[in-house]
Amino acid sequence: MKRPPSLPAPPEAAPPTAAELDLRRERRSERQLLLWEIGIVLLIAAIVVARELLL
Amino acid sequence: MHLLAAILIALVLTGTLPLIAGCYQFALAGLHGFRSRCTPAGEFYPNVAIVIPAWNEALVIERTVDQLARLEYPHDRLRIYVVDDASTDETPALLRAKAAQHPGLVFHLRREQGGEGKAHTINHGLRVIQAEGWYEAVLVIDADVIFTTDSLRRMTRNFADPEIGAVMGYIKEGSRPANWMKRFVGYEYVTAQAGARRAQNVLGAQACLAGGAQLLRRESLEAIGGAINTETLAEDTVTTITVQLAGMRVVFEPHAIVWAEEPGDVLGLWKQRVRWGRGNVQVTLRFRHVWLRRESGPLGGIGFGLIWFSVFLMPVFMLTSSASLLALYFVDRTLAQEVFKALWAITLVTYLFVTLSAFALDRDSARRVWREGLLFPGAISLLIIAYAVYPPLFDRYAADGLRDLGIDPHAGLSQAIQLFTYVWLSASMLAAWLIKQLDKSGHLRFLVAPLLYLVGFGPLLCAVQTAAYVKELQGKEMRWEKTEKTGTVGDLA
Repeated sequence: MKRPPSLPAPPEAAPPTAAELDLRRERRSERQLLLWEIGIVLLIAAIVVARELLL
Repeated sequence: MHLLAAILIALVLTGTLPLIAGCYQFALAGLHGFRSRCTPAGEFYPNVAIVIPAWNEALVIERTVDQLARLEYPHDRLRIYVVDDASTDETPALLRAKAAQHPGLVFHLRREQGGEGKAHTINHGLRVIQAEGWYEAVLVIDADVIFTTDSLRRMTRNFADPEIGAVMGYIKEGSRPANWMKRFVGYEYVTAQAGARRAQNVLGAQACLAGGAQLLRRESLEAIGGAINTETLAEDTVTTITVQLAGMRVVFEPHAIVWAEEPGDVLGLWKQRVRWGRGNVQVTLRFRHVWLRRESGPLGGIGFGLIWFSVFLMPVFMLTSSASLLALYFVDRTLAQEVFKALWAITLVTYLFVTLSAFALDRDSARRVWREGLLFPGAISLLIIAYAVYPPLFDRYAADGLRDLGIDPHAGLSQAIQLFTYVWLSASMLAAWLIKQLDKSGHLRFLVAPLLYLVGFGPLLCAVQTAAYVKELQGKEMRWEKTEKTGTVGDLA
């Protein structure tokens, strides 16, 4: 369907600045920390189970 | 009898409170990427006045100023004021040269009558910038800190949110090469700053903007009366709490890295931390109407209270725990052994969680200080953990080892070892104090480092806090004992 001529063309998204890209990288690394911590909790749980099996 | 035993067990388990608080903090730190109340924008550049108090800082000040002049920040929005507190070394000449080299950027403010302390020196600078009226934010830093080039812009971007009144950077130990003490401090800062302050961002309340790198919005400085507190030894904590009580938020910016030089021996660390510890006692009493009260906002929350008091009262918990375990031993030996095992099993779980999370949080630091991270509680405590959670290791192999050495592992020896492990939580503080005395005596100093790895850096911090209580109770004179800085921060910016 053709767009009515009265509507303006949608604005082109401006490319992110270096500072914004920086911020996205930081946010990603912050979120990864939770994954690390989940992994650490699983490791500790495995150690506890291993101890129970050994004793 | 049952009631007495139950009370003693409860008291023994108070020793786990600081550990549980440590885990709680790191669990919150894991949520920082999702629930942080710190939401920086990409860019925000207010006019920033940097105030640096300097007293005989010739070894470090030139480099600090040069690095600030290299910041990725619009220079027409930046002014650096170095307040020379009647220095008697080369500092004034160096600062005059720097002001001439960077006209309009670096300003040398000279106090002819000095010696009143850091807070008065900073206030001199604050009076000047307020009289000029140009500034929109003020950054107060120590004379030795090295800002990474992008750190200031990462801090100021938080001010895009008008509710944020102050921001602190992530201060890291930057001496290169770093000796054993500096590496211990390096690891401690990963837990106490990168971990704890992320957690406090999630809670919405910060305990302390480190005096080495605190950025205040103009309205925040005005809210605290235009000057920092000169009556306590923890003026930075007073500023932090006062700003928050005035209704503004204070946040930690973990990606703004600032390098600092920390003490390189036990004695230097002891002096610095007793000052901080006394400051914390003063702050805790000064703001006693704030803690654990809902009407104080996030600062009065239970989570924040747990974090604050678990650190503040750590020596009390340690002493209570081991004294109660010893008492339980005389009431019911079998029960005491079970409680001992439970106490150290909890210690193991929290130690693993906190240490590994700290390594994950700052992998760059972890590569340098992993040994100090692992040995933070001390080798003796790690052996006790191993003994408590997996007794066959000792019952079988240690007994054989003793026999090989010609020592009979009879009941008396075994009981003595058991009692030693029961009181170690408290005895480790005494041992740490003895290490400090050894360092102070100047004799056999080569033993200080190996002994500290055995006893642990954590017990040393507990011993320092105990010394701070004692000095504060005795009403000892408050003196600003400057931590000597010699310019050992490496080329890290």
